Amino acid sequence: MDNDEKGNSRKLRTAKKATQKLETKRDLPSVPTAKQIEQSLSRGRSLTLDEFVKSVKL
Amino acid sequence: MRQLVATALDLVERLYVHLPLKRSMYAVNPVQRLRLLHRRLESANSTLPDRDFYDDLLNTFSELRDLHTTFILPEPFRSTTAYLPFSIEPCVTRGKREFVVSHLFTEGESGLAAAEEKGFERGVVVTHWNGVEIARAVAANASRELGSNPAARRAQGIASMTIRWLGQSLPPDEKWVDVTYRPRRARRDRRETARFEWQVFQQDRTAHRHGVAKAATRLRHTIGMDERCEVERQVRRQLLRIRSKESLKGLDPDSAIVSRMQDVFPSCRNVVTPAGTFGYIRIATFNVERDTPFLREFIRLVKRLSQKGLIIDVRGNGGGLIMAGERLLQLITPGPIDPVRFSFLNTPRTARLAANYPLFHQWKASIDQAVETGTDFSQGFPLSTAARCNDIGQQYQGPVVLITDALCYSTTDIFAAGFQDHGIGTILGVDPATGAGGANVWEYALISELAADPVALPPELPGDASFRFAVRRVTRVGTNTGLPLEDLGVRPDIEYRLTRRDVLERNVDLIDRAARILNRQPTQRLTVTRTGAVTFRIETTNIHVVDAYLGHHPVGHRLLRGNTGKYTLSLPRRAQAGRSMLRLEGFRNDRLVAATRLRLQ
Repeated sequence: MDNDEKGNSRKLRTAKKATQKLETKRDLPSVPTAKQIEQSLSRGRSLTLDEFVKSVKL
Repeated sequence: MRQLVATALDLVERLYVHLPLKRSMYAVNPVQRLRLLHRRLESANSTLPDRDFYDDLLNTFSELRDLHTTFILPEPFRSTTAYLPFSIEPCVTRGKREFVVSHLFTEGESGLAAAEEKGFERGVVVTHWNGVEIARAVAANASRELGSNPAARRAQGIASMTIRWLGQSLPPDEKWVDVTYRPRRARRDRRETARFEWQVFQQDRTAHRHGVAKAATRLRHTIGMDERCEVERQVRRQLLRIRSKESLKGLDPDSAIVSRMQDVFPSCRNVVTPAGTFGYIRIATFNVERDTPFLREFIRLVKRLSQKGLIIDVRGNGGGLIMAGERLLQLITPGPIDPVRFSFLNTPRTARLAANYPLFHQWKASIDQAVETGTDFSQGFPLSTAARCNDIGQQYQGPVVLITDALCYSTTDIFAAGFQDHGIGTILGVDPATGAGGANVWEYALISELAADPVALPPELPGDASFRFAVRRVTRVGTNTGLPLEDLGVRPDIEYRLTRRDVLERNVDLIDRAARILNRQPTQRLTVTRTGAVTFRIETTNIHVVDAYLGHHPVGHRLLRGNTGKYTLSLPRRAQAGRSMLRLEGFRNDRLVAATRLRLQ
């Protein structure tokens, strides 16, 4: 088995594992909950665009 | 940077379902553009500044004119929204189009207080923007927007004059805006000018990674949403809440029925109009965790409204969970719902997805056959089964009017298309078409997980940047079978121009117009109540024939005389055995006009 084939079979194993996960319908990438989204909004703050631009590197 | 471009190239070529359409419709070549950018980055003396790189990548995606398919800038941009302390809306006054200040909101010092002293308030007419005539300024802004059709670009252009999510566009170049306006109660030729500084609202991101889709993890592959519209809606709502210093309930004091899902149903009330009293419900978003609680709440609310007719207002709804929109249709029509179809682009990557995941197996055969058939798209299948789209049945039996605009997108497009294709009622549109987002969109984290190809599509992108891609395209059903939604959208049955009273007085003229449509339509009622072990009382209004079914089997057929009727249906225990549902269909002039169900066990 050359390196490519090894890589492919590894990919296939990963895909199979992911399939099993998806079948349970519980293990897709974790994401913020509705409550966390609401919290992030209510804890948000306003500042001027000038202040923001100075704080980021562009 | 190179990693981002390589990933974008892979996804555009191998996953992006609208690539053939966009190439043809807008004469663009995103693949070549990304290749050139990649080459530029590879050259040894490349010194591309971040801002230029992001501009180039954002422009490549904006050329596609697809709000689903975007590059999302890294933090801190993606949790930040730039805004001016007011919003403007177009309306028609004495046949002339105007732009009126519709809301004021602010948290910090942005020039609003000084402007208010000079008569800047809700209802003033904006005439110039940085010295440019307002209609021209809006048109110029619209031309830079991603909307799929002219109406959508225009609506997006107006919205982005005063609010911009920085996840999808870099900070505005100008730090302030000079707004010239005509104060209220002033002579028509009097003008004032006020200067407003752009502010930014930064969401707190200490607790989690930024995201706005609320769908439960297991439903992440069934989202149809314009993320930018949803972020801006959430931020605008938060800013309004800060200004009003009240709970959100206070934003709609006339809402007679307060929803348990205020964010989704901000307004639900009976509206009294010259044409009669009707129910009105606003669905601000389909961005919910699960579809069933959403449907339950809708049922609870509409049962408390006038049953003479219902106005459903979905303006500004950027979509969300596709199942929420599709399953909602069954609640307002007696007929069966045929869900829209979704197709993949035929590529090796989609073939692998279909082969690897049981969820996508039904698409596999047609993708594999593409080698022989040479077709661009796979066969189309529904996301939710027909059974699931019809598992509750009609809950509101009166006539229904749907109000749309060009900001309706994705799931809302699908809902409006289903409304039209199943002949549920009249669509009253304040724009010539809906936003035309005809696809199921996947976030990069989901794509990377499903693709299981960590070399080409690594789990994390530099700086927490991200992409979103339209992965399965929608085709319509019923009288429009096979037509795509993307770029075309849903044309309303009746177009309507918003008036100044609509913008400032809670859509009073628009609601009157919808009420006049409802008033012309007959109402009907069909109810069933269990009165004994084998007897059921059936009451009807404006129905000529009632058919009864146990499961799929007919068990009764009754001709009725007069406007109202009641009778008793007897079903022996033997007939009920093993059947869980009694279903009744009411006809008038051979047309199915009402349906109801009763669970037996």
